[in-house]
Amino acid sequence: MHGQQSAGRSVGYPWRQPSGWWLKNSHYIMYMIRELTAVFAALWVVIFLAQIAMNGRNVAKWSASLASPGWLVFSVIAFIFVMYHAWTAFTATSTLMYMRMGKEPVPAGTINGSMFVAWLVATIVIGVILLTPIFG
Amino acid sequence: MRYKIDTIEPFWWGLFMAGAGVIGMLLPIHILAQGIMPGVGAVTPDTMAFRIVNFLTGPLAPLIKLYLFVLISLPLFHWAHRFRYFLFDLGLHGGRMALATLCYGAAVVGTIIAAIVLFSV
Repeated sequence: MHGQQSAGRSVGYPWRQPSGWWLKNSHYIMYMIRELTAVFAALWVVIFLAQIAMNGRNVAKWSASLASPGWLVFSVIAFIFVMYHAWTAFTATSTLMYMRMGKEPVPAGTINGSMFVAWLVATIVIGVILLTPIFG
Repeated sequence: MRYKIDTIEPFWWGLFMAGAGVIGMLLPIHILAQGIMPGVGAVTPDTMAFRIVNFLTGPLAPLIKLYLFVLISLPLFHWAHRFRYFLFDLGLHGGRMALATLCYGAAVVGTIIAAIVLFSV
């Protein structure tokens, strides 16, 4: 039983997988790569936070940070991983969530599609705010 | 027979899922606009720098800082939960409590630092 102890030894469901289990199948490899997407997302926000701390209200410092080749290269890599995270999350939504409209189940394509529509709306709204002089 | 129910796990899982939403929905456009476009010349670094400073100092700054706090903090909790299980998947089964403390602790520390930085900028 999970969490039950007997004679100082766990008698639950002991781990039987070898550590290289994920190398045996391309789907498992992609699963592990998806697990890694969180590392790049977290690193990007940590570096962004460091930029806020170091550059503060200084436009020249911000400009130098944003023009840095290292920042560009890392952002491109992070973007690929984050988009992979987004794509796999949105296409898996109908698997994770069961929804009904009345007595009829909502089709998987509708659920997944609504995620992409929400993503598109959020992207356009934030993009307009960041890239146009709407707020100065 | 005694069972120990892990009551804190849903809390971390909730933050993990909220972080997944932020990473998927909000982060791509920030990475594109702030990280890639200034570097490739789609927008000048000076223009983006001016906008960021304007956001941090303008009349909507409190609201924008609250948004940035969410944008920075939740991905850290997403990382913490996912990285913990990533290491577990790789076969690191010992020191589970220490690993959880390190991962979630890092996210908590990052969140506190984010609050201090955003409050003081």
